[in-house]
Amino acid sequence: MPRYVLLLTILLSILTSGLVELLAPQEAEAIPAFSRQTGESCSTCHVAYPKLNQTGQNFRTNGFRFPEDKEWQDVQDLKHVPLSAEIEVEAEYTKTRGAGASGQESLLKIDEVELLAGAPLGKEGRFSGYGVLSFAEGDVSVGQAYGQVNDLLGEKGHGLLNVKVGQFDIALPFLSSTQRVIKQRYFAQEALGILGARRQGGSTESEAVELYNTGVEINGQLVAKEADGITHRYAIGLYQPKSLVNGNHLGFPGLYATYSIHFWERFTIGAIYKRDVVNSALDPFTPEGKKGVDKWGVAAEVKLGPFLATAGYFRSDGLPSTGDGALSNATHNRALQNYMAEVLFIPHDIPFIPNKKFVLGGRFDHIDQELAQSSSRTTFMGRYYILPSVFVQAEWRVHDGGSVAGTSGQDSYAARGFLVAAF
Amino acid sequence: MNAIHAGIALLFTPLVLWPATGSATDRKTPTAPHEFLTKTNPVAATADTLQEAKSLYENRCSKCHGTSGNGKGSATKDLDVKPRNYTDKALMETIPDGQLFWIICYGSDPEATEMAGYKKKLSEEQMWSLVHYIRSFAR
Repeated sequence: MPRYVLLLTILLSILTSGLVELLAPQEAEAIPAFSRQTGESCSTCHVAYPKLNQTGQNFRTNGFRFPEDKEWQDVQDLKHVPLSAEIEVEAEYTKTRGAGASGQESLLKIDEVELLAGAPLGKEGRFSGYGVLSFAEGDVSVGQAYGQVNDLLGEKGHGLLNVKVGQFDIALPFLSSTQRVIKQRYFAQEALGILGARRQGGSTESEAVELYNTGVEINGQLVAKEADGITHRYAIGLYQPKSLVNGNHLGFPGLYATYSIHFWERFTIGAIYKRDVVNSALDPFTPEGKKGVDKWGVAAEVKLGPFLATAGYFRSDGLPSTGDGALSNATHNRALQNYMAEVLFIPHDIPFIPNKKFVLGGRFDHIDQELAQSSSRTTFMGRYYILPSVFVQAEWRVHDGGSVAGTSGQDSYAARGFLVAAF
Repeated sequence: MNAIHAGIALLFTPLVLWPATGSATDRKTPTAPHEFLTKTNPVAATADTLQEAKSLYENRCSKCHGTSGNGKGSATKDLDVKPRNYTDKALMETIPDGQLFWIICYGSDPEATEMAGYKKKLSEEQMWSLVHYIRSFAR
């Protein structure tokens, strides 16, 4: 059976069950797979989909289990099938400005259709699996796909030490490309290759493909018993970047480590280190033009009532030229520095706001590179929930271009609209 | 305003606006209608009833209300309004059975809590048996 027919069949099955749920009288809970499995609403784990709160980060690191669960529920009916579908429709309008402006570009399309599945397996949930199948631009591709063996140490159901193998985000537990509420990609992701999936290609945001790292990771968490205690999350792993040709592979894989703490119910601080693989013709000491580059970053997050503020600093100690532009004659590596600040306004708990079905956000993202013009992006976002798992979102982005590490060098405005439905 | 100033302004906006947004912890649990408050538990507290209620509680309630009923389940990390602590004997003595039953049926304040109603998922007998089990935490 052709792949797209199989995908369509599965999708229609999920849509059918999802539509039945959507058309039924709605309460606070939403639809997708984890909500069905656990009986909890989406907001139990998500600040604003897809960003995870502390409960959600605990749940994910724990192999999609709550410690109180005695055993994973057997699949009894469609409501407990650990499969979800997500459809995203996007409209994008981009207008270049300033010197060299080439005009405007617009598009309207079904950006992607995804099938997502994840669950702990077996009565004790010692193994968990997660996978995303994406249908976009006429292609079917695998997004994140990994398995995790849970509870190598410690009490069952607490995720003190686990091992994860597969293809996944390498990022901070509270800040990553797959948890973006504002859909504009981070510079740390695009240009530095940190905070998760790389972007590759595409003249517009929606056309760029997300590339995940393949790796093996040991991770875990030590969750505070008291609400205002300290929760630790840690991970160390080896990975091989995806889509690099054989000539780019290091003799040994890349290495990364992350650590974060959450304390006093409001504050989270995290650090990440990643030894990445790049192709460099400039380094005379590394055979075959391969080079490892040290990248690292720190970030902090604070929750103040309905506001969630995140700030980060990320750095790459040199990203050698591939021969394009002004860098082609450079004889030394040039460091990249990225500063990012983001605020989300999520009015869950404000008594005087009658309709709390919206989220607002703003992000400022700035990147510097030695001997190159810096680049900034300021993005504003507004989201409105039509249903708990269906929302519309609009973004306005101002890009002050400088040709840094593959990002666009042209100043531009961009307006993007999304309709996202999850089943 | 240059780019750096814009970023700093964005970060400090919550600090300035946060005190004006009020606090969800100021809210009070809704009170059941009078006809519920006057109800007494029609289900006998037998060993079988409590065993079934225990199973229901572990399956549906413990993630938030905790395995010991102290309101400190693993799903409460980000809740500004924490679940009721059923081990507080003095507090539980002030809450009638009908109030507990009504909250289980219809849920608490949807704008401030995650407590949904279970009227469509549990029978009345099951919900009354949960009232017995909840009260056992304070003994």
